[in-house]
Formats: sequence, structure tokens, C-alpha cells
Amino acid sequence: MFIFTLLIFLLFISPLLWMIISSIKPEQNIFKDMNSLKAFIVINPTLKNYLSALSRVAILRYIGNSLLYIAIITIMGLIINSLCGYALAKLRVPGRKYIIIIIISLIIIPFESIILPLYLIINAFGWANRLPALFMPFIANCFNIYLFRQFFLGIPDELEEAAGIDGASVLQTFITIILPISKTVFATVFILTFVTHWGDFMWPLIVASDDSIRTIQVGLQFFFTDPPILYGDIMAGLTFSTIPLAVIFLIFQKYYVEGISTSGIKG
Amino acid sequence: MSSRRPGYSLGREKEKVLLGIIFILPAIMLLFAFLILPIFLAFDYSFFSYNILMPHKKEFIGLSNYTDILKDRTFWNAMKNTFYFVILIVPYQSALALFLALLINRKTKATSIFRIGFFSPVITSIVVISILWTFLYSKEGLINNFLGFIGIPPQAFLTSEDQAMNAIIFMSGWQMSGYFMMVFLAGLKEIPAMLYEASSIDGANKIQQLRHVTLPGLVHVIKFVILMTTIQAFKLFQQPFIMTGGGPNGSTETVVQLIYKEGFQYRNAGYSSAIAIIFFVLIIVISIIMQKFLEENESSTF
Amino acid sequence: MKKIMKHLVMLLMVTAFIVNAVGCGAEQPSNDNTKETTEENKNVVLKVWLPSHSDSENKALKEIFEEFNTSTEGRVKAEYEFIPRGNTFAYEDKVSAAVTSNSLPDVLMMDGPNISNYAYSGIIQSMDEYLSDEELSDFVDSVINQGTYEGKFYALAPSESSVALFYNKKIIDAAGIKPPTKLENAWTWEEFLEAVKKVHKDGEVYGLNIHPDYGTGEWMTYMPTPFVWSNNGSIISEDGLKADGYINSPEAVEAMKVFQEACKYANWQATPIELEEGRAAFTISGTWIIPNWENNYPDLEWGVTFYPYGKTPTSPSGDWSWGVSAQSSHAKEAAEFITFITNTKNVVKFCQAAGKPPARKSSFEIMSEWDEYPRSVLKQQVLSTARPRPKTPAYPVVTQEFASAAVDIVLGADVQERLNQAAEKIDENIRRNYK
Repeated sequence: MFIFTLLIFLLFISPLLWMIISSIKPEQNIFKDMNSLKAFIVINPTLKNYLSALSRVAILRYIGNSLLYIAIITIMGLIINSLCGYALAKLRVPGRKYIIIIIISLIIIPFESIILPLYLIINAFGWANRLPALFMPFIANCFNIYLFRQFFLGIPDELEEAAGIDGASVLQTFITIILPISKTVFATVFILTFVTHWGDFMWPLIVASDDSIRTIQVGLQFFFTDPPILYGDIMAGLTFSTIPLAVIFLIFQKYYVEGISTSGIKG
Repeated sequence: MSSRRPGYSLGREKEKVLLGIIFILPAIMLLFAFLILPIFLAFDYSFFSYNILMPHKKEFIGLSNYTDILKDRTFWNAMKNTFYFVILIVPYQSALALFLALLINRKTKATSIFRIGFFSPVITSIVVISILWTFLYSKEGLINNFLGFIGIPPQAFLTSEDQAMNAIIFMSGWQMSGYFMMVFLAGLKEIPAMLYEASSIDGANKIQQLRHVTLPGLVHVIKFVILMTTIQAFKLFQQPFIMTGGGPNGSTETVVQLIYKEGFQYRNAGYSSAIAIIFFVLIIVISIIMQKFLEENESSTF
Repeated sequence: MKKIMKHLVMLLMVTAFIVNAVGCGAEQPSNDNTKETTEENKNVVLKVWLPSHSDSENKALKEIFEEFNTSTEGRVKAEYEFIPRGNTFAYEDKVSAAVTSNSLPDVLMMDGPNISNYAYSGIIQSMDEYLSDEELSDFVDSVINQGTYEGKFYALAPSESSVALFYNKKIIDAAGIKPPTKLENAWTWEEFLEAVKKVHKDGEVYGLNIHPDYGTGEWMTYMPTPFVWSNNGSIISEDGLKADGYINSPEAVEAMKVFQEACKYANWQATPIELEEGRAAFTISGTWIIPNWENNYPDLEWGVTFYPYGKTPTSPSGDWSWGVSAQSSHAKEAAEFITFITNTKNVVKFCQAAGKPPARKSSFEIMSEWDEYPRSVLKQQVLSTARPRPKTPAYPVVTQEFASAAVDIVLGADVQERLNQAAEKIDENIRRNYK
């Protein structure tokens, strides 16, 4: 069983591995090694690609910019979407059934089809080329609302009723009973939201051309389109841009381990 | 679902209504400003001939965009491709995600390493993934080498009209399964440990536990994942955009790609919005049906 | 929960720290003084957008812009933004979005074929008033041709581009092939195909290498169109509003069949460096490959010859050009800025950094390296065989549909059938949008 899991693991991790390994290879070797397992072996590791990448594009600053706006989206989003999800799962919202259908329907909207009108709205707010343009449209997120709702549905009503009988208000119940047993869900939403927005390209390019708020994905484009196009630099830049995601994941995945023992609902 | 029980005070009921409204208000306001309003605007555009470089020449043309779309072969082709993608990827990706989650839902040291490994394609740049898979799929690539080993002649994959979409499906499912694996894992953690304890006292084996404890406990999550995978699959854009550009011969062009192409590249916001509206209405209908179907089976599944 | 909150707070703090501390990261091809606004009203501020180019080009351009700002101190100031191009049409998308909200800059750079499209849409204004005939006569014909729409001149390019047949000299020499270095001896299609077939060795060396981009960018239009033109065909009517009978004409079909035949000896899923590694003999590539080879593959022995032709030698042309936005209220100063950055001296400076052929004849005279082989081949093309891409308001549709068709043709589609299909799509789109 372990060997089997390991094999699947290798299958999944190979692109990440290839990216990291290629980032410390001399430029000429990256594609030369491509048609064999040599692609995953480094003979002469070098940091040249990293130095070159860092000197060409302000990667660290762009990562900082991305972290900032995505942190705002995720943190504000956790609060707003979890409240909404809870209300739709457990509270008495007039027309709840219809709101849920509308929210699910809104998940469907391909972002590409509303870019133009959204751009006009952002402009009307006077946010063009300013930070709010990057986060305001994405704080409320139908996917996350629905995800929270589905999870809160799974919590037995008896739990809240018991709290209610003990005299706790609805708000108190949410904070003292529901939140502590929903850590995993919050961590999941945090990770997934972060990952989703880390890849944003089209929107930041259109609304945030100013260098002071340029995001990492937009910054990385310099490596792809500004000659010389060096794959070593590309891999180094991409590896850099993956580090924050890996860190976030490593921090928050703890809540998956704790899960069984602490969040189990014990009668 | 929450149900009215005797013994509940009227005050608490009122509080539930009041807080319910307060809780949903911020989200609803933001959604209105940045999602619903743009949709209304797009709906408005769909009745115009609107070249985005010539806003002053915007002209009302009634339903012309809609009637044109119904005659547009490119649109129907994109529809066909999109549905094909959805039908195949939903069971494949959801099952893979569940499988991965069950595989590592244990407390061992290696679990967290495996978890990040399975999730890694999600956080790895799509560019890296598409470079690598383009090589894997190439004539001299690893997959064809393997096929040759078991006696199958080399396949064209991405450059063949018949295979390109399948190749993209295979890759996308592999790439995105980690995403919903996390959702499944979160769901697995919500299943009370005592249920497992109880069932093992009853002498249930692993497979019986899976059937009688795990799957019923995951019912909300499974529904969620199936619905979300479906919706996300309808929005397929990036993978074919980067790996095949919609080709060969339009065989991997999706509706969202078409919306982007018509709206931005061809600058025809009216036509593009009309496609988006048709597509939007269609998927709403599908998801309502799915939602109904899933809710109805709520009690009987598993 | 507390733990989560603690992590969140930590994350925010780390973020804020990085943003502040690393604020002065690497040198960037962008300008920090875009925020400064004028204190006095008489100081005209010109907003300038341009796509980010190569590192050395960005540096040269910045120096030129600063020189302009110094020379017009207290009167005109250019505030420039280098914008990433993205891997497809992201820069164009940004321009489009700016049009809808009236936020175009005063001066913008646009890819050659977009000039007529932008002029038709009325988002750029004619520069006739500000440019003398004498000034214009120094530019190569293809640039004048490309910058003109319905009798008016709109945009100036500092540099030209060209595509030619490059080769790995070792392989070609070993096969005893001598590609021509004089235009009058340029290869015809037959000679070209013969050479490609001769050097092609199945599984070892590909006769030809083409950089595939799956038809999502401009390349698959820019690169193969000379096949059609050199057969005296075209891909769209003179007025730019009809494709049927042009893109699928017998001339175009014959030309694209030759292209298809040549591509049978190419690896579609090529690695970017097949020729450099000696696994491909010829490549159809652009001028930009020269500085790349000189810097990154100093040991590579390479040569270049003319774009092979059917009836009339033809090569593609067109590069990023400078124009004045119709929304600008400082057209005079904008034109002054453009005239400055495209003067003989600055064109030389830019083209030396870019490794591109200049668009001015007087600049060619200063840059003697273009008189020597291998660059002389490209200079001859720029001066004698260059042809800009078609002028049509529907250019975005034409190029996308032609490029997709070209990709499918490479992959083996029936040429006539596929081009008929492209004609139908283009004409349908023109009917909807431009009539």
C-alpha cells in the first residue's frame, strides 16, 4: 500500500520537482535532458538562474504585492463568506432557498465574460491602478459561501440547540461552538482561495499596470515575452513564486492532522 | 436541515431571522456591486452591436446577436466540446479526488508529505505543467515510449483532432484532483471519530466502514464536489488556451474561450456578452436540475 | 480558531514587512515618477504606454525618454509605463479596456498591423500635421505603407523586423548545400523544398524547425503570409472587408500547400532549441534570433538566406510603432516626443540595443554592421522585399482565423477546405462588426 501511494505521489509531484531541478540547471541542459530521466537529475547545480532572474525582475517586491492583496481577499473573505454560509445553512433567512440557487448560479459566471463591465464599475469607483481594484471584487465569493454552507449543514442541529437551551445567543453559539469545530473548513477555504488568486493574471494586468502594485503573475510575464527568453530564469522565477504557496500550505495543513482527534463532535 | 422544535423561545427565532439577514448582508452587497451589476451590464450589451474600440458607435440591434449565435457553427462546436469535457471530467476528477483523499486519510508521518505531493499540481504554474505535458504527449515523449513498450504505435495526442480533448481531459483531471482532495479531506475530518470506533466494535471491516460510515458522512461534501466540479468544468479555459490554442481544427475550443476571443480579441462585446448570457442561462438550468436531483437523493444515497 | 487568527495576523505582518522592506528590489523596466504631477500648468505631462521589450531595449528606451525629458525640462514631461505583453494579446486587451473608460495615454505603442485597425476605430489621430514629407521620406517604404490608412499617416516605427531562412551551418555544409547570399539568387520554393528534403534524416535531423505557438499569437500569421504574397496572392481584399476569394484563392491555396509540404519535415512539438542542438537544419525565424544566438550560443555556426518565394520575392515586415491617442489634448507635444525618439540618432541607439534593423535609411548608413553578411541578407529584405501585413479594420479576426488555419494546415488539414472555412468565419465576423 505504501509503495503504491509512493508511486502515485511521484506521478503528482513530478512537475514541481522538474521545475525546481530545472531552476538550478545551466540553461543549455534544461531541454537537452528533456527526453529522458535526466530531466530530474542535476549534475552541475548552479544558482546563476536565480541571480539572473532576481536582477531582471523585482520578483520579491511583486510577491509582496501579491501577498498583500491576496491576504486581504482571503481574510476578509473568510469572515464575510463564513457568516453568509452559516446564515444560509442554519439561520432563518427570508427567501433562503432562492438565495442559495442564485449563489450557485453566480459561481457559474465565467469571469472572462464580465471583465469589461466590471472594469467600468471599478473605474467609476476611481480605483483604476489602485489597490482596491485588486481585492474588492473578490472578497465575497459564491464558491466559498456555498462551501461553508455545505459544511455547516453537516453539523448536527442538536449541538446548537443544546447551546440555545443553555442560554447562549445565536452569535455566541456561532463563535463558541461552531467556529472551534470548523477549523479544517476555514483552513481549506483559506488555502483554496489563496491558491486561486495567486494565479490571477488577466485582471491584475488590466487594472494594475502601475509598477508599485504590480503582482507576481504579471511580473513573471517579463520572462516569457522579453527576450532573451531563458528557461532557466523562467524556472527560477516560477520556483520563487511557488514558495509562498508552499509555505501557506505547510502552515495550514496542520489543521488536517489535528482534525480527527480534536474536531470530532463528541456528543 | 434546521427544523422548528418545541421548546424554542420566540426570541431565539427572531434572533435567527435578524442575524441571518445581518450575516448575509455584507456578502450580498459585495456580490451585487461586483458580480450581479456587471452581469446586468453584460445582459444590456448583448442587445447591441458594440465594438469596444468604438464605444460611440454602439448601436441597438435587438436580438440579432442571439439569432446570429444560433446560426454560428463555431458556437455549436464550442458547446459540443464543452459538454464533452464536462461529461468525462466530472466523474473522473471527482473519483480521483476522493480516492486520493481516502488514500492519505490516515495518521502517519508520511501523510503530510503525500498530501502536499498530491496537491502540488494545483500550486505549480500551469505554464510549467503544460510544458511538461506537451513533452510527455509528444511523438518521442514518455507516454509514447511507454505505449511502444506494450506494443501500441505512437499516438498524436495534442496534434490530433480526435485525441486532443481526451489528452487535455486526462491532464486536467490529474492537475485539479488535488484541489477537491482537500475539500474531501476536510469533510473526512468532520466525521465524528466515535462513529468509526463504534463500527469497529461492531466488527466492521475497512470496506464496510467506508460504505456505512465514511460515504454517508461525506454526503454533503460529495454533492458539493460534484456540483462544483461540473461548474468549474464548464468554465474550462486555461488548459486548452495554453496547450492547443483551441485546435487542432477547433476540437478543443470551449465556450469560455470563445467568449474571451469574441469579446477581447475580436473586440465585439455585444456578441460575446450574448454568448455569455446564453451559456449562463443554460448552466443555471443544469445546476438547478442537479441541485434538485442531489437534494432529493439526500436521504436515499448510500 | 485562535491559532488560525494568530497565523493570519502573522501572515499579514510578514506581508507588510516584505512589501516595505523589499520595496527597493531589483532594477525594473518601469518608471517610479509616474505619480508626480505637475505643479505648474504650463508643464505638459505626456502619458506614454509601451510594451516591455528586451532588457537592453528597455534600458535604451529609458535613456532616450530621459534625454527627451531633460531637453524639454519645464515644458513637456513624458511619464512612461512599460507594460508586460503577456503571451498573447494581453497588451492589446489592456488598450481596449482603456478605450471603454476614456483612459488611454497620450502616446501609445502598437504593433504594426493594429495601426489601421486603431485608425479605423478612431482611437489614434493622424500625425500628418506634425511630420514633414522630408522627415517621412527617410523611413523605409514598408513603414510608411504600414503607418498610412486611407491617405493619412498615423504611426511611426523606429525599427523594422523581418523573417528569413536561418540554418545550422555545420549540417548544411556537410550536405554540400550553398544557400544564396544575394537577393537575385534567392531560393524559389522548389529549391527550398529540395534543400529541406536533402538534409532531413528521419529520427535524427529535422529538415525544418518552426516555432509553434498553436496559433494563439501573431506568429502564425506573420511567419507564413509571405508564402501567399510571393505567389501574388493575398489574404484579404484591398479594402480589407472581404476574405472569400482572397484567403482561399488558388494562389493562396497553392502557396499554403507548399508551406504544408515543407512542414512535413518539421517537428511540430519542437523544443525551442532544436536547431541550436543540431537536431534541425533550417528554421524560419525572425531578426531577433541573431542577438540571442550571439549572446547565448556563441559556438553555434549559423547562416541565413532569403525567404523562399513563388513568383515574387517577399518577406514579412512590421514592428511596434508610435502613435498619438485621439483622446490626447497634447497632440503637438506628443508628436514632438515621437519625432524625438525616432530621430536618426535614437533609432540607431534603439536598434543597436534591440539587434533589429532600423526603419530609417539614414540610420542604416550609420549602422555598417548591416552591410556585412549575415545581416546584409536581412537589410536587403527590409529595403527590397518587405511587405506589411494587410490593412483592415477587421485585422484581429483576420489574423486569428488565418493563424488557426495555418496551424491546422501544418498538422495536415485539407488546405482548400480549411481556408474556405477561414474565409467564411472572417466574412461572417466582418458582416457583424464592420458593416
